[in-house]
Amino acid sequence: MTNKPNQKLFKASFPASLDHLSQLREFLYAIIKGEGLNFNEEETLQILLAVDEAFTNSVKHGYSGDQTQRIDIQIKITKHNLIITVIDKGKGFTPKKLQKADIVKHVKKLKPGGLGLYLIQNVMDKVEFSINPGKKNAIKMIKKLG
Amino acid sequence: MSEFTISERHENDICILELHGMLDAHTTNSLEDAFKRNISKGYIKIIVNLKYLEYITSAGLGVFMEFIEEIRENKGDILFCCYSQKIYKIFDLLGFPVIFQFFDEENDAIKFFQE
Repeated sequence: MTNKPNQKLFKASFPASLDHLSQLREFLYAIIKGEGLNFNEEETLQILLAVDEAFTNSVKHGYSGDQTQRIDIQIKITKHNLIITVIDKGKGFTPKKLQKADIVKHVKKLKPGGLGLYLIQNVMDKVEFSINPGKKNAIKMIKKLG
Repeated sequence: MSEFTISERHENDICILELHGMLDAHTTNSLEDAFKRNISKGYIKIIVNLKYLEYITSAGLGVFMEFIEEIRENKGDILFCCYSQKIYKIFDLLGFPVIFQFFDEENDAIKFFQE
């Protein structure tokens, strides 16, 4: 953990394996509770969900299941925001902004791909992508503090 | 935060899968196995009881999408019941209520299958 005035920064690195999803959620949950962030149960679940989905995308698609790789997590708490960034060095992806009508059409056709990204964009207040395949792919997810 | 388990019951030709804990990309295998096992035994009327489900991700939702086509082709269905609002919201965000039926009580879902 490092601190600057009015912000706190936590960092962690996990093997790119779905075995670590539970550990990742516990790490995040401990920070949310430990720092006394004012999120209700539903908001907390949605934050865990967004990070879980981003991590899962990195494992499955970014690294195609290569468990020797790692995924970095940065959590920044500022005066007004909780900012979580999930970073990998995998093959990256093209971010799309889907609308609800698109996703319903998608689900009706029983195509599960892309649902995670849609969830992330709908449960967080702001999402930013920085994609540099093989170097640094970062998905920054922001939730306003209550 | 608890892991994921399934309690499985059968009432005549209906299979009830009661989900407990956290359903994520790591724990979906056991749900997939439960569907495969029951479908292979001929159970195509499946009720998924969400009362004790604390958490679900798109990977978990993908399991229901994986099996619904096969089940409906055989005149069966997957019904959901006993959901909390926080869990229902995730289903709703992805438009699941458009293609699946949700019931407040397990008995209502059982009656729906029996009618």
